[in-house]
Amino acid sequence: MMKALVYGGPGLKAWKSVPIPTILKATDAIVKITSTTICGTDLHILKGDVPEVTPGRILGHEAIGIVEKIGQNIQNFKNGQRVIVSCITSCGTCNYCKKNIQAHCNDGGWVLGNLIDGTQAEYVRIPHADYSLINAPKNLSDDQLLMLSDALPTGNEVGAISAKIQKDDIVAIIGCGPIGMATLLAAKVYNPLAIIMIDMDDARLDLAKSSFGATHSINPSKISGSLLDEINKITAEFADKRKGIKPGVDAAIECVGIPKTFDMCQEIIAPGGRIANVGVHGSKVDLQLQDLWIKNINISTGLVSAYSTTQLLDAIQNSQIDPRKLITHRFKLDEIETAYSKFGNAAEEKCMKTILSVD
Amino acid sequence: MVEYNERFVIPQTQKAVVFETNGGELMYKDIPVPEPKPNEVLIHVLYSGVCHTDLHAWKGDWPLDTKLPLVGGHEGAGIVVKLGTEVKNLKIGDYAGIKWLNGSCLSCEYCEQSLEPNCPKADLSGYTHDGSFQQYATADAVQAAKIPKGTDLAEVAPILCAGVTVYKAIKSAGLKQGDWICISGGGGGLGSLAIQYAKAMGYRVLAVDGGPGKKELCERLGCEAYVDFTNSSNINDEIIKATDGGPHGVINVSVSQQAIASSVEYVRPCGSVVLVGLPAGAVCQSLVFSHVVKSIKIIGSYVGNRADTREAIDFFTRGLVKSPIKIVGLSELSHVYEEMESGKILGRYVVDTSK
Repeated sequence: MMKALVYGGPGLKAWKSVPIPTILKATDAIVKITSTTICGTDLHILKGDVPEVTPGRILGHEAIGIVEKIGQNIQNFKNGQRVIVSCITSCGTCNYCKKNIQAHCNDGGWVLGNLIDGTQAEYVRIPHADYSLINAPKNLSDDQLLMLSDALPTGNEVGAISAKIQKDDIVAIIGCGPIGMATLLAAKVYNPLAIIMIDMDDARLDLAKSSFGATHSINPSKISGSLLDEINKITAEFADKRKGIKPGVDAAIECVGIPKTFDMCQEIIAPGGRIANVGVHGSKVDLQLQDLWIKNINISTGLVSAYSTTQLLDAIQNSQIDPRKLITHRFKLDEIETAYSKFGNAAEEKCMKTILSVD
Repeated sequence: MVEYNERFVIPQTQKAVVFETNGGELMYKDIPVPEPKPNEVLIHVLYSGVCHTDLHAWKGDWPLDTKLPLVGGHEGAGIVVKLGTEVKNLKIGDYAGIKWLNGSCLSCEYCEQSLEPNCPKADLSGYTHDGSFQQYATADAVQAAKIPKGTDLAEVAPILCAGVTVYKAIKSAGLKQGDWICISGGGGGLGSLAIQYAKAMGYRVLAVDGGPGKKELCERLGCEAYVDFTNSSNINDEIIKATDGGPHGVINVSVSQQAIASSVEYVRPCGSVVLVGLPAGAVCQSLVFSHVVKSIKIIGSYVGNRADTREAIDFFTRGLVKSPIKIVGLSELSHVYEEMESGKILGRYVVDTSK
């Protein structure tokens, strides 16, 4: 038996004893978890917002661990190997995996802690392990690697890469939660001219500038004029480098998931710009096509595919990205219920990401 | 779909109807989920029947103190979600019922003879032990009623007390197949089940009741003859005539002392009068002369033991008995009691503990 965080229905969860998972298919691996964390999506699941997650499900889709058992067909991993668990399961051979949209893999995508048992446990079964695990280099600790499961690839792929950030772009990121901050870390690698963080929480805006490298911040609840006016004040600082460039940002990345913040992106995007939506939306938004039709912009959406994980791992090895900054709270794995209350009350607790470790 | 296995998550708090003083306010509120003792199980009660006794327990009508504060109810049908450390006879996911007898000592002369309801140390659900008007209730694993998996829990709930009680009462009358049995109060919660059990057990049924809808109900449930006490010039004569000399057995499941008194008069010579219903302070009068000359028996029948429970549930499982039920939310319990007090209920109310 092992302990696991079991979802019991809306509002219900418990750290319970359940059987240890076993190999079901020759392409599976069983991983013994050394570190895991909690995602904003897990909070949504607990509220009952994700109905395909049924009571009895073990939650969690982010982890570092050691391979405990491998199925007969596994070629890329051995027992005892330390691995990064990707939040996205990829069969490696279907049409979508081949196109790098592993998010929509025919036998994968986001299944961990969703349609199958996840990583908030002592052991997890990883389907299609050859394409869904990444080797963890010995010189990097769990805290340096854990954010590669989900947060960093999401910010990188659905945020920075989708927004096609070029050198000397002006980027705005709306939302200073873990995804907004991960997007910030990823965006910096592309060397934009400025990264403007937008949020209603001053403490988070300060943190973005002091720890994560944001160049500017705007709190829309504390400005007198419009958001676009504030943006233009900032872009005016770079007028000499951006002669003849129209007002607005080149990349607007939505990391919240509500109509209001998507509207902000539409308001501030410059001609030729890209709106990249990362946030998980629960209701529709109004597309201001009457203004946007003429602006030669792109809007992108998506779920992470984790195709860029190895690339991000290299960036961490080269110290271009230090994801440890995202981790604010540390717990033992069996303290997970406490971790949930801190993370569930993140703004007040000044919590970004937690790390839950087995020692 | 929630699965009742080791992954089922038991919440910390639950909804219940609690009262703190007899006759005091019935509060639908959040209370902690109890922890089962080593010999108990925790049952996730999905439905509970409402019995007249629960009304008496709330009001404090009886010469036996209730626990206070109290969660009432003793017809709880649900699923086992947690086992006490010493429980051997039940598993998580089994269907189980909470009946009047929550637990007994199993070592006194009564328990030895399977007369468990008469155990001097009996622990009573919804009376001395928090009962089934809550979502999670504890029950002694030995006494908990075993219900076949997949049973419709709302429909089986009334069997756990009303069903068992009338079934045992009919057994106690000691009749033979083809005998006449009179169900006095045939349209009530107990009566409607008694008619069906009696018919299934091979007796000829006459029902007595009064008021709108009762005749139709009793006839639909299978009585061969019906006497309306609100509309008869001479009830005893009508009953004796319909049964060709008086019923061989009478099951008193009404709340009327007068009805009990009449039953002693119209019962057939050498017949049995069974007392089940408990009108407050009622006395059963029997003139010694006729009692002796007619050689009748008057028997008190009180719920049933584990075997009676199993047998009574089996009649239900085989589709031979079914209580006409009306399902309302647990939050409506006080309204159910109001209707009960004014005698307006046809059949039985069952509360859905999730509403």
